[in-house]
Amino acid sequence: MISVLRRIATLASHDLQSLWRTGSNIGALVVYVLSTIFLFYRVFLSVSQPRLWTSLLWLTLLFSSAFVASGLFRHLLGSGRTYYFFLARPSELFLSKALTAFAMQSLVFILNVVGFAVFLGFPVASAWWFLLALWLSALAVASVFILSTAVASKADAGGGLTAVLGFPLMVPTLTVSLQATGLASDGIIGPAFFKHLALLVGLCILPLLLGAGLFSYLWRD
Amino acid sequence: MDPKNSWWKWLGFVLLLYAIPLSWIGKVSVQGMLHETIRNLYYHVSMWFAMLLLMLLAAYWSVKALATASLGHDLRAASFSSVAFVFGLAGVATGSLWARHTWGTYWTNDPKLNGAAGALLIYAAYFILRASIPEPLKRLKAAAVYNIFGFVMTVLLVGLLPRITRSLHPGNGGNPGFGTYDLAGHMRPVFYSMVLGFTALGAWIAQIKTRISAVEQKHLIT
Repeated sequence: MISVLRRIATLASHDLQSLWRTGSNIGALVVYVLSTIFLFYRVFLSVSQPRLWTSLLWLTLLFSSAFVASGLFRHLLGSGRTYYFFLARPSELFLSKALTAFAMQSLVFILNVVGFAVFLGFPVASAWWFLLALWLSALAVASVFILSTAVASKADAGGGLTAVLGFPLMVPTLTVSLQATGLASDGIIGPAFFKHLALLVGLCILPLLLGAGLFSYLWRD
Repeated sequence: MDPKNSWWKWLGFVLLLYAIPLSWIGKVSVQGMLHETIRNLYYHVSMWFAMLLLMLLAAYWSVKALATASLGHDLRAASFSSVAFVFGLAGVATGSLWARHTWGTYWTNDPKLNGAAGALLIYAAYFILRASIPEPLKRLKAAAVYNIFGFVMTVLLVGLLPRITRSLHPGNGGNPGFGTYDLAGHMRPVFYSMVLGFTALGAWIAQIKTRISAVEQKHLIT
């Protein structure tokens, strides 16, 4: 068990390092997020409605997470396949990719929230609960995207298919997320809020379990 | 037709033959704002039940396709998904008409409606995925994985989420189910016959569709 976790962590940290050293990926993300936020700032100047604030945040978050996910499986195809085949089990590989996606998504999330707070304000009653709910939703979104990217990597259709496959599957996650963040932004922290929080955790884990089980079928030819 | 393998077709045929006339002229419990529109229960609800059962069968064939890498199972999964999709469209259409007569509008912001729309979008994406991979074996794997995942999310969408959020639908968001008041004893046999009959009809259509596409693609059904 420990060695499995260590393998997953090693693979993920290798991924993160190579993403960091390539630079262009993270740079593209930062530029995309900041320029979108600046665009929102030019349009709205400041946002005082929590609902509008959240939906604008989702606009940047959804596309940036699709972007993050769509690059993750590229080196597992072609000649890289044989190399990784001897390195780890498919389920470990999938979970390591998920870990990478979670780390990147958290980075994107922090960047977004800070950027939004600086440029557009932060119109929320229970800030920390709100951020927790939003962060969990971001991870749930990443976890759906990681599985749909794995499926899309079978087709040679590029990044567009990831979004087409991922967005319909996002509906449950976003429904729960909107309820949870809505409650937190009104400051209603009660049993209903925690029920939604627990659901979000479930929605993070469910695609990972399915993916860990099914990735071996996708990966081997 | 081999009678040993086609009994369910006859069963579905007989059930529909029994239920469809009764859905029009049978005795129903007329009450409140529903009036005679309660008869739509026989169509609207059984469309959704049949859709979910057909999707379950599609997910079952997807699992079989992954386990055996058989293109016949892959075709079955695709056929069952597309027939389920059509049943879903029929469910939306009948529901929309019913909503016009009882809630006063063709579409409302109801979690069950949004969930249904989401489920149909998932299966639309499944057909796009199938169309975008020309190689049969690659398509089998990608489509099967997406189908299984999509089915799980569909169950969440139409089964779980409306029950925990506010909904206008009976049996959801704290509303009592139809079974409590409206679905009187004499309506049940008709309703269950409709569900099973339409599911059998859908499975029959899917079987024929599988055979047609197998002939088109010159694959042997295995």
